[in-house]
Amino acid sequence: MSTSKQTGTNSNKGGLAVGPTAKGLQGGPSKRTGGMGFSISTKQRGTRGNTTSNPKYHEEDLKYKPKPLIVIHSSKDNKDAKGDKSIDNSNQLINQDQSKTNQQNKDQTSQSMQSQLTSSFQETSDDEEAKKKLQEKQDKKNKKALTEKEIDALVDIQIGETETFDLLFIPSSSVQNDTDEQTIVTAENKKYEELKANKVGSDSYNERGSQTLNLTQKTRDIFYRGFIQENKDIQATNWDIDDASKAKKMTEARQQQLDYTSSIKTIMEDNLKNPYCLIDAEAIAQSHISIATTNAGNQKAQGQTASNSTNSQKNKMQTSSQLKQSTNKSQTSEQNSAPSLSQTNAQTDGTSNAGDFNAVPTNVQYVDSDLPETMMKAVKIIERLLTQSKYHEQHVLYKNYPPVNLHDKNRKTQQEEEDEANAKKPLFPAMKKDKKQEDELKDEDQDLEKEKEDENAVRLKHLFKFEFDMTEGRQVSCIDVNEANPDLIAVAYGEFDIDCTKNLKEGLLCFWTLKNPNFPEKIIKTEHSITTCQFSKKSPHLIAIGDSHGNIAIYNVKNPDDKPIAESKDLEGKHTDIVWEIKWVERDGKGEALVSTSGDGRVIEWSMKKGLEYTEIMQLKRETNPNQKDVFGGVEGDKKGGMTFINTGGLSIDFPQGENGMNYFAATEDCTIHRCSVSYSEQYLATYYGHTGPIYRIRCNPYWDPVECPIFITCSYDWTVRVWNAKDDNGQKLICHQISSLKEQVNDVVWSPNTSSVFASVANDGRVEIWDLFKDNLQPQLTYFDKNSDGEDINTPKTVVRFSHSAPVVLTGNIKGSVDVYRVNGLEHVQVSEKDQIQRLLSAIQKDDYSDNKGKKSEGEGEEGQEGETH
Amino acid sequence: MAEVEERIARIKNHKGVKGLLIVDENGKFLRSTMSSSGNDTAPKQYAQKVTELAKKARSVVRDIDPLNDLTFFRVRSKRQEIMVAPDKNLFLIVIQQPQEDNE
Repeated sequence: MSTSKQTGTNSNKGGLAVGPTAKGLQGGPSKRTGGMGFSISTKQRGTRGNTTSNPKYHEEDLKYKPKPLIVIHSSKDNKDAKGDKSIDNSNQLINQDQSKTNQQNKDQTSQSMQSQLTSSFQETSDDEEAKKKLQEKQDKKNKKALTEKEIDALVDIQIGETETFDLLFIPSSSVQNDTDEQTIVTAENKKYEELKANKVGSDSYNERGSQTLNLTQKTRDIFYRGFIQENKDIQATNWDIDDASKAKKMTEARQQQLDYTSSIKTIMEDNLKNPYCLIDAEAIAQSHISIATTNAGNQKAQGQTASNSTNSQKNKMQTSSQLKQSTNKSQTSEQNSAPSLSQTNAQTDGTSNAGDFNAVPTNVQYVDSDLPETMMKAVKIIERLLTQSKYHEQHVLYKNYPPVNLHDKNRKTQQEEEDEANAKKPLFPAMKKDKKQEDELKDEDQDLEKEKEDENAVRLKHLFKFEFDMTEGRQVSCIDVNEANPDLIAVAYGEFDIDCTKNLKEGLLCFWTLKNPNFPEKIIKTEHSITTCQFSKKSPHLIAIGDSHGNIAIYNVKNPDDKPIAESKDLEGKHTDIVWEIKWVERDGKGEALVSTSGDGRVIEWSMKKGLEYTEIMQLKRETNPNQKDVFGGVEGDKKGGMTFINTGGLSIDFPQGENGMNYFAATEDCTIHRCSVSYSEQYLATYYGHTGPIYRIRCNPYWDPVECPIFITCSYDWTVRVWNAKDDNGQKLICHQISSLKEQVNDVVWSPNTSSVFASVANDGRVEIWDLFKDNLQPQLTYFDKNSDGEDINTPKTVVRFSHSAPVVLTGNIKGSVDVYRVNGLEHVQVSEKDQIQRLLSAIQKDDYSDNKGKKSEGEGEEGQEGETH
Repeated sequence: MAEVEERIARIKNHKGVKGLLIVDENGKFLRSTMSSSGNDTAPKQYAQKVTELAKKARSVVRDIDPLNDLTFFRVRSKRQEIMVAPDKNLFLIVIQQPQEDNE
């Protein structure tokens, strides 16, 4: 700006002159401003003020002060100027130009204030010319005045360096000696040198200037719509992120698959390009498609999608995707992927489909028609829910086991129902639901009242009926409640009666759970009808069954299939007749053994140590009843009381508690009970006579004590249930229970696991009887018949009865194939110690101590009369 | 697969079951036993609304504990009971009218 001005005054009166170079010689304001364009570093002492009009760039405000390379002391020190001549040569040079510079400086200062181009423009007007002339005159005067002094005067000019910035920087690179690269690099360098040398005088290179033409430009408008924006909110919850991270892992796997397939692709492509390639792509494609479809058949979920896609889209692309899928699935060799390559065009689609099929099976197209396997769980849950809502009340009754006071429980349920009823009553009094609840309330009230009257009355309330379509027409032959999971009930279906050797169908073993009375959890079909079953106590997932052909089998409930883990079908020494009872016996140190008895008169013990092995522990020989010679005496002309050599069928066995499984009782077809020991296989320890019909069941009391309380109970074809005391060898101390109205065989009897004097029995006329010896020896506490809709008794024979050890329920099975579960109310469930239980039982029985109380006409007496009758 | 179908058939025939729907997370039907005639938009409504509710329920459970997940939930109303069992991406909805049980 000021530079231009100056030259303007000197050479041109008006107009601009751009001549930075001229300035440089005169040592005017610094030329070394690089690109900055402001003269920051000039310090002209002889001038007024600063040359810079921009205060921002005031020298002192800079962070760094560019070091002056050349410092020229100005004419400020004019008086002492002459003394400053001791500055270096460069200064002298400059000093020579002092006069001119001073002039120019003066000019500058006067015009430095107006340092803008615009101002310079303005001053080129006529007015300015006049000014200039004046100034010139002044200058000349000044010149005259000063020139002499100023020649010698020193002018400080500070020239500094401004920031340098790189326009182009090519870093050098270096290579190590003695490497291959070095030779290459040195060769290249050499070449370059030669090139440079050659370039100078060679004809191939001509210096020539060029000019770039800047074509005229034309503006052109474009219409641009811009991005369509849409706001979308997403909330990522913790679990969302968690799921996504899990999903990401899957995509990594998918990624690997994709990589794998793509690498196969490339390899195959290369191979196929080779004209001598022997891979017959077409043939493989053909064969592989068939493979794919068979695979599709086998693999359910994915196969169906594959088949769906073949059906729906007949593109080659799709087949390739299947091929890819089967490739991925089966990890076959590279060859197999060849057909896909040769056939497909859109490879990426294929791979992505394959990836989808395999990586995330649940994303398989279920929308079409089929449901994925994973639905199973949800479906099961729903089923349970439904049954839960349907059987809610029964469940409550089943699970709720009040120790003493039934009132509380009833009140509880009452309250629940009251609340519900109240909530609904005012609004929808006509609702069915309400009505029923009110009815229930009334029933509860009535029950309560009844209970108040007679707290000890035993009642059975029907809860569930386990049956489904497959069980119709079958008879329930055995029920067992699992010890570990008391909700799990195994029910064996088969023929029950002894003389039904005719229509022996296949057997069925169903596992029912409380949670679903409509359909069993597991069904196992067997070849022959099952007559007995029992869960192992030690390993509750094992169940042993005996069937009507003499086979026994052990199943593992946890196995998904139906095969037994052991069976005796092919063993030589197996039973040759119907297996009537099978029992797990726990022995100290020897684990658990399985003992079975059957119609062929043998009692066999099985062990599973090496496969299925057996040892015969007893042969039940017939023994005649010494008290009844006439009945059996004349069968084969044998002597009375002697051992015959005919086996009788063993119908039931039981091992009493606490004797380590060494002694057991066997009940036979010929109305005798034998007490035997495992160690003696020839002789009985004791025999008990008394029954007049085949004994269907023998059960030792759960509170068995060999000395104190050796009580067992039997039930038989002869319409009676008998309680025995094993102490007395003669078996004289026995109590016989018979109800006059009962004119049917008693099919099963079982002790209650909680109270020593309580047992239940079922008979062929469909009744369930619950006895408590402690309370009453003569009458059962309860005789219960199933009622049909008219209120009449249903007389379908019941075949099995069981108590549940954890819930206050009784289970019975009948010959129509249904299992009924009843809740028992009113049984006195005293939580007493074992000894007390024993006492209870003994005292109950001792009421019937005939030898002592023969004369008494109190409770026990009626027994004798009965005894006499039956005998 | 067949087993699943079998069970579903059993559920359908269960006492009191008014309808059964299987929907995916977008509300699209996979199975439905409820009549979806033109006038009757009930199934569609069920599908939509119930899936919303199910998702909400699921997020409640999982927000509290991300390791947890919703097993099922039931909505018992005056007239019926809606039971929903969520699967990975599906919802199985059953509407039951609790006619009072066998005594």
